[in-house]
Amino acid sequence: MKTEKNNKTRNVFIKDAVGRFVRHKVAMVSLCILVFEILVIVFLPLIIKLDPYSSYPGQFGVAPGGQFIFGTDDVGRDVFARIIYGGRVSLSVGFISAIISACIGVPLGLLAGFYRGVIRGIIMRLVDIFMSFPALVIQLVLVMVLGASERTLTLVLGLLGWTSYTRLVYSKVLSVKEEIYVEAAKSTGATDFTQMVKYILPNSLAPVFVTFSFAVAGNILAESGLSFLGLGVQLPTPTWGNMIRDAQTVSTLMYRPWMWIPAGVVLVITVVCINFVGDGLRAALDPKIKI
Amino acid sequence: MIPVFFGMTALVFFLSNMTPGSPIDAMITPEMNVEDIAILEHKMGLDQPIYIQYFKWLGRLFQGDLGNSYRTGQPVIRAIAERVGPTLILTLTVLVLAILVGVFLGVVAACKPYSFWDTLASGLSFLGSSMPGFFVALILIYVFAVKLGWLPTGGMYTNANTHSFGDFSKHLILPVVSMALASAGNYIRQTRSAMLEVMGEEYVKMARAKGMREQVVLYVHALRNAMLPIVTCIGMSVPGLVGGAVIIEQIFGWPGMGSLMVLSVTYRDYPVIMGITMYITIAVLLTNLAMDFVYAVLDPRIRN
Repeated sequence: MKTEKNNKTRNVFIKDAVGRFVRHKVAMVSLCILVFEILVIVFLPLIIKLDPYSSYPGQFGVAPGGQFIFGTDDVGRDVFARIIYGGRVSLSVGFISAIISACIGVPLGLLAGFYRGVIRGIIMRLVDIFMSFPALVIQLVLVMVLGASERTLTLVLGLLGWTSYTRLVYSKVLSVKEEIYVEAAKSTGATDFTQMVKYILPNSLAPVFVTFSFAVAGNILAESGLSFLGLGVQLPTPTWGNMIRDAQTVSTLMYRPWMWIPAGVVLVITVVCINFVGDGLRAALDPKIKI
Repeated sequence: MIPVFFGMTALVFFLSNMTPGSPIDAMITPEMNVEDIAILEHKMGLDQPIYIQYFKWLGRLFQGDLGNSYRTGQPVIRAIAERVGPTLILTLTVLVLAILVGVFLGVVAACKPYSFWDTLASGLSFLGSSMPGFFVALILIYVFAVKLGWLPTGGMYTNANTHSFGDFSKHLILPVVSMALASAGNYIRQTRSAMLEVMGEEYVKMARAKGMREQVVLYVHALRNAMLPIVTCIGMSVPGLVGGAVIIEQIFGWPGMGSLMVLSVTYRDYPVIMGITMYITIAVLLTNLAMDFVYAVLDPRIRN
């Protein structure tokens, strides 16, 4: 009986949240664009033949139109195919690294909020240290140490991005911990672990979803920034960032905008949409969350 | 503060020494035999354990010696000293511009929520914080430097003979704008939400009831109280600003610390990387200190 009631109230909450999200028009439109984009990036290469790697002989720097919708780059590769495949890399780096950060940040926030005392002192001090230092500098050094590659980048972004999860989960846990149902669980002899995982965690997750979406957007930006510097994902693997890097050549910047503008526009649209979805989630789940 | 300094420098020191490949690889010439290499390693202190190297580095640091660049042989202190000025000018200009624009637009947005101006400011804020600085920079170069020819594409001066303020400011515009957009976007959002919170307070109603001009109510009564979270946000954005400068300097060929950092990472020039890391750590810590000071000025209760 008890669980049934519990499920019922939770369903009402989810229903309300979904309702609020659907009413947030910008977020809904952004979500549709994102879903469409992800479907295209995942399934288009399975439907039509796209080759982002090989150069078409004699087709260097061909302007858009005709055989190539977005033209070809300096070495004769299909820009459209590279944007699609680049999207796979950029999105997977963004999502996976955000998941890694959540796996580190959420438990730490939970521990800091639940135990307070010394544990909180250490964890929150670490958060302060990590937040007060420019991430890009540590990323540069780490990438230099581990060698630039897609895997390194995902790992580095994941390992450095946990602080915002910890901070938000921590402050949420502080209030959830005082709720009567936690008190009740404690009085029925629930262990610390059960209290945390079964009662406090599910009720502290709202900020995690919001943080997650902003983290994906931020990590996609960071990946493209590092790849743009030539210190991220290495050629010939395409990402949106290293495609924009072509524009560092003055002649490409000036006379062949199709090589870098489409990649940049897709990147911006993606990040804007993810941020709007995050904003919609915040409005739907808990308007009081501040990122 | 002090633990942060030691933590940061130690972390970067150990990390950069974990790199496969030794910095002397680049100095080895075909005529050298194994002993020469060993002598060279000994001379540079590379044959000792890493923690000893770190303490030696710290020891020399307090004597004002950061070692010599592996790449140019020049003292790191001098290499950094040459680069500090341009970076400071760039980041401080961005900071001041972003605060002015961001706080102003945030207040405008908050005083009439969901109006045209609010939508405009919020839209700008969203776009600003979602656009990667380097893409904005390239678009700006493409439009204003290449197509319209109004502004230079990069560098700090046109040539050695044009070291005038006018020429310098012309070169400063594009890098500043492309960096300030993201920061300003962030400040608009924070100011808007902080102001909205404060606007419902009793003392704002009181000020209005007294018949004060709306401008005075907004900028004197409400903004002063909304400033605390805004200052926090500004303080927390400084590390990001420093990181952003790395990419922007690279694009515009701005002769600052950021482009030196990228160059040093590419060449694995550890002494320079360490020097820059230390400089940035100190800069960020000083900013935190300055923020504490600003808090105290804004909110007298904190002083005790």
